[in-house]
Amino acid sequence: MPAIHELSAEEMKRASNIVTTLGDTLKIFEELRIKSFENWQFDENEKCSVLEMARAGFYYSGNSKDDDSAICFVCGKVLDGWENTDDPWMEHQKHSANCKFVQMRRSEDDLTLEEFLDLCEHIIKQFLTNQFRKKEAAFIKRIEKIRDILKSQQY
Amino acid sequence: MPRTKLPKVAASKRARENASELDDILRDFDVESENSLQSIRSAHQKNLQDAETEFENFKTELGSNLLMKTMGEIKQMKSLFDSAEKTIHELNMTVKDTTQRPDEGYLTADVGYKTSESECDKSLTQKGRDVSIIAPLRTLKSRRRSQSASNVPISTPGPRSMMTQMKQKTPLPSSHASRSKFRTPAQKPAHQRAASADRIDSIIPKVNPMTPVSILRHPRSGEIAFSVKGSPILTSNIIERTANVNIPIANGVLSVRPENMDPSHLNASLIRKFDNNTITHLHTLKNNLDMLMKAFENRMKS
Repeated sequence: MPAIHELSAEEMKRASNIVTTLGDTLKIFEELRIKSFENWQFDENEKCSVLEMARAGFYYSGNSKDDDSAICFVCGKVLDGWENTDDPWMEHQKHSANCKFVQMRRSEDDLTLEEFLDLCEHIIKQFLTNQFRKKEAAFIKRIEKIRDILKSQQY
Repeated sequence: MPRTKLPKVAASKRARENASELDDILRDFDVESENSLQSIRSAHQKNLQDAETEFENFKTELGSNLLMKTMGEIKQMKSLFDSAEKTIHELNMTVKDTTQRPDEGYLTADVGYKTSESECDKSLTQKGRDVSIIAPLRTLKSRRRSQSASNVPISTPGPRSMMTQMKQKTPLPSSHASRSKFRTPAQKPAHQRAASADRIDSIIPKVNPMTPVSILRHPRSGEIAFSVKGSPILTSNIIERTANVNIPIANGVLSVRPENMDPSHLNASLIRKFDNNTITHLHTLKNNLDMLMKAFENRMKS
């Protein structure tokens, strides 16, 4: 594996571009997840500190009613009722063993670019599929409604 | 009391007809809706496929060197780049443009492209104002001046040569060759300042050269190539007038020209110089060319 200084300027530039583009458009970076926990109830020495939560793939998804829920950026699992002794990785594994990120079980900096891109691909596909499912369900509902109207014309 | 007999058969027949007509409509409706459903499903599948291809292409483009780097290392590179870009930005801000200069919106300086790797790295690690970005700008004045006098050999491949192997020159190929030999060292600083001051415009990158098909232009002689996000110019000494393919190989560049080629020109040693990455690239290139030709033919037909 070549060291960083062995990479050409072009390669480095490309790397820089990926990081910027992905960072701007998708919420897949640890940095962005950390930023999401603005008023997290646990401080940095505790097991589920902001940093540890973000490392384990969670970002804040709470609101005024439910102020401690966090969601995984890969599998979308929402967990709340956090306690200071909870280990975010353990909880993640316990509640969503099939999550791709849990299966990798490494924080962002330790993933290779390829693994990270695979993760991005997975997230994008999942996002597209979720959007599609919604659209599909609405479409089917509409079809059924029209069909019922048609059927009621019978006497 | 008798009553008018209702034509029972007729009535039921009408009802039956009505029902069967409705059944037909419903059947048609079901078929139509199933078709629509299938089409949105396949559109979705295509979307997924596209995303996959996009990522695949992206990864191929990046090459295994980069793919094996950890995100931590990549971030480190990014911060280096950011500091370099910041310096460029500062440079743009501080140096006022004094001359009106017809320009397509970007200056092109050969910072990232023509300098050798080590030089580039050095410039990136030097945070601060003295980044060697100034260096290529300096060379401009002398290059400009020496244009008329210089007799830089512009080598064009012979018309009959279908494949010409060009030795790749890496570090600063032309600037030394074209530099005037009569430079008074004492005057140097003044010239440098003048050269930088009246040459630097704001750089607004307007193109995205990272796409598989992009239209590039040739640099004007003496022009500074300033690469901010991958330069759109083709930094080649040879001005090509025909469409051609340059394939980087182990010890140079394989240039394929649009002239009839016969198998005798291909030998095993040549083919062995291709690595897997290049083969993948060539495949993509071939597909792109096919796509281009197809689009062109379709247009001719219509």
